[in-house]
Amino acid sequence: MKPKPKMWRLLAVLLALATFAVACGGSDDAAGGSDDGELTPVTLQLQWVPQSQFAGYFAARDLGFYEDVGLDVTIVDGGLDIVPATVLDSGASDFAISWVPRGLVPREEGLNITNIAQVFQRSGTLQVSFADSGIDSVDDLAGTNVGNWGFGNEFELVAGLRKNGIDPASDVTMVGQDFNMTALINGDIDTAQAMIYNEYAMVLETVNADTGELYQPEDFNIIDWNDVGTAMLQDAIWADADRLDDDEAYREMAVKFVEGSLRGWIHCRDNPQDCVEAILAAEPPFGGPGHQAWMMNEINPLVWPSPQGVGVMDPVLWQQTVDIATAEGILTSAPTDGAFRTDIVKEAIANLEADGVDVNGNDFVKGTVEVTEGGN
Amino acid sequence: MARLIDLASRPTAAPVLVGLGILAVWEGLLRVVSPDGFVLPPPTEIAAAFVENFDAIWTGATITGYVIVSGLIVGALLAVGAALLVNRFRIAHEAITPLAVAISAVPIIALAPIFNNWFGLTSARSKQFIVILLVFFPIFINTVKGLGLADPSKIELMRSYAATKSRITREVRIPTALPLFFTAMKVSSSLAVIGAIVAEYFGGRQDALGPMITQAAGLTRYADAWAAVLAGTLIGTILYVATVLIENAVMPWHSSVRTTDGR
Amino acid sequence: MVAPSTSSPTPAVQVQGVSKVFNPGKSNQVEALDNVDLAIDPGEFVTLIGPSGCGKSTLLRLIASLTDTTAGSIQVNGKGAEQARLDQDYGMAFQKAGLFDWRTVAKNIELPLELMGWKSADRKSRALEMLELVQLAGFGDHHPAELSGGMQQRVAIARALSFEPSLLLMDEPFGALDEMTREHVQDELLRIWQDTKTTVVFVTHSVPEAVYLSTRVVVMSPRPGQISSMIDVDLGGRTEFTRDDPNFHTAVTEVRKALRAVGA
Repeated sequence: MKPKPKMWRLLAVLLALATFAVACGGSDDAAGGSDDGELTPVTLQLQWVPQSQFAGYFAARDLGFYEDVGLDVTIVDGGLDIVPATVLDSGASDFAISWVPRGLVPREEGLNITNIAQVFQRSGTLQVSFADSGIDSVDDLAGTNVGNWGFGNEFELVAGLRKNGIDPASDVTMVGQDFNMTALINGDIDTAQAMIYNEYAMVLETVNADTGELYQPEDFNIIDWNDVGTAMLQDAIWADADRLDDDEAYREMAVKFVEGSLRGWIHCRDNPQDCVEAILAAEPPFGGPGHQAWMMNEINPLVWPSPQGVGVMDPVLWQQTVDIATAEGILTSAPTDGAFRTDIVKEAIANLEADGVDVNGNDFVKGTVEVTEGGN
Repeated sequence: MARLIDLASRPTAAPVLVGLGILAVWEGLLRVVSPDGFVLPPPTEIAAAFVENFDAIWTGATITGYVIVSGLIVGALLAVGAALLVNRFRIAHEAITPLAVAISAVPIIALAPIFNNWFGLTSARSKQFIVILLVFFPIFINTVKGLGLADPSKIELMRSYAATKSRITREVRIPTALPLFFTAMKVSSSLAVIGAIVAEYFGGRQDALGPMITQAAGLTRYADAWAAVLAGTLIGTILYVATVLIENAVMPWHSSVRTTDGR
Repeated sequence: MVAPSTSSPTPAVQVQGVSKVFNPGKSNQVEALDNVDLAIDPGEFVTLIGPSGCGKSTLLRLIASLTDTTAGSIQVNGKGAEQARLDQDYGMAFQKAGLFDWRTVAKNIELPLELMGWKSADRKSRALEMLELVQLAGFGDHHPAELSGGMQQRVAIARALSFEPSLLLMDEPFGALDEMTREHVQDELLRIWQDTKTTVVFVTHSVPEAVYLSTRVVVMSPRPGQISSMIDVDLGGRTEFTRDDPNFHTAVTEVRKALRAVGA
């Protein structure tokens, strides 16, 4: 028996196995996959780690809202190096949560994704500086160290600077900061990027070394991009546009997924504490119960009221986001048609309304939450 | 055709031709297989992005380049100083060498956030320290080895002249160590580039090369990301060439060996 | 034949009762030398010869104070060997030329002079003189790697003599050379020895070389090293015919007999 033919056969088998493994591992076909019982497996890619920012989805999963519509949803954490748009486009997830500009830029680069539900109506981005820094408005930022997170989180800031005639490349020092307020407290940066529902709370949960008490809101100056006029749309549910066109089952799945998710958000509006508990029960979240409670309380006002129905895109708000993005060079040109669609969310809302659920939250009133030290 | 082959056989032409060949295949293959390029765009797109973003890339290159070069030089000086001490004094060897080995085992990049806290987010200092730590060990260990490789009969010769230990180090050990030192410097040049860029991922000025790469990648603007990577590569190449030039100037005897057909 | 020792006021080298033990008290202890006595007068050319392990190289290194005696004493130029080393009283040449590759030929020759604090101009002129002496004028700016083995060895000799030491210690310096080069360099060495009146202590394995070069051949026996016999050599000035001279052959035979007596 000559060694050569045997070796070739072995190589052929190995090659076949490798190809098989690649082919199987490559496509994560969730839609139309094996039906375990009656639930269809669905994967959702978050933009960040599990926290009240995504409470609606966790509530929907844990309280059975996804199950009720026949879906078995797996929620995947986001993180620093994870780009939800890429994960969605590659097929590794069926849906993704992403801020609108952070979805539009990859879309311009060729990823064909589409916004199927605009959950957050308002932006929660702030620039925070100490009250005695003298930074009261955007103009005062010139010549300072401006902390921000980059990766597309800084677009509202960049737009705000440019709108006030400040060039981010030369009139300020843009500094990449961590997702906490340490650099601000250390004095490394003059102003820090913070989400009103997250990092801002972190500094309020910190003890002021000078006073021995927690920092107070009066200790800080806040620049709110909603006031400056360069706020852009944030958390939305995105789907694979090509797949929606080609795959009827996927479109059906999308309607159900949106329906379940929105039901979760509605529950979180009316029962915030339930949702905080759902988050705390998830893989250890960032920040303790106090922090997540604060976050839930700050997230709700970003979603509610939704006069057009939760998740339905307000064309005025969309246009504002697009105008800012194109004017300030974040997008090279206005997005092509199909960047968002309302048909799926409207179907979902119709189902919810048929159940007698309040999809607008017009009477919503923001609650109060006490700040706890360290967010515990 | 014959002229082309003749041209290709010249020492400088060969690598240039191979490089151009690779670029051509890369470009052609992508245009056929994956026209929108995406994660790995064709070289022409990267070149275009490089030109388009040149101002920003130049700024980034000076910021990151400063960290790289200063970190490399300081790291080298510390490493050579430590090597000389360790070679000369037994106590220094017992104290320093285990410490150096321990440091080399630490995942140095993991220290970047800590250094950012110590030295400040916006200062170059925290990134410089990462570079210094990264380049210290290879230069230290190679210089120690080189100093120890000194020919014992040469050292005896020096002793017969009643030379002091310092004189012996200067006249025998240091020249013996030079080849190994320069090899370590070449290795450390690339380490310095990698270290500086990756350290920048952990926060700091966003106009440096590191953030340029990660931000562009995070927004799927891959041509821009690769253009910044290219800038980093160029810095590394310049450092390497500079090291070779200095090496040739400092060690002319090596080139004399080369020119006499290895006699 | 043991000749009467020529007495002079100060022997160039005086070895008295010298023993050397390596690794004393350990399992790999070696008695290299046992109770060696040797007196060398100024101007002599003495060769140490013997089978492997007889301690001839060790004795040379003891004289050079590159290692310490276990017992006994060594005087060089009337001082202790260590002091003589610190006073830079002797020059050395080994089998490996030991030239510094990173210095030019001229700079190699200047090395001991630098260590002795000579001024630059003096060093340069002395180096040129020495290059003339070993017939390598014009090679000053070359690097050792560009020279042949024989030329390198000549540079080593030039270096050893550059500061005109009164004592020259050489350990098989011509071992790596081919026959013709070897004979040529031997003549060079003799010429220089006669011109400078240096005392030479030479170690070799080669009987003809020992006889050709020396005024006295010291035969050593091994384990532990001791001096077995000393043979005076009186052949007058060496010429191209010396090696054919019957007296040369007699001397060689005598040395060979002495070596056989110690088991070589």
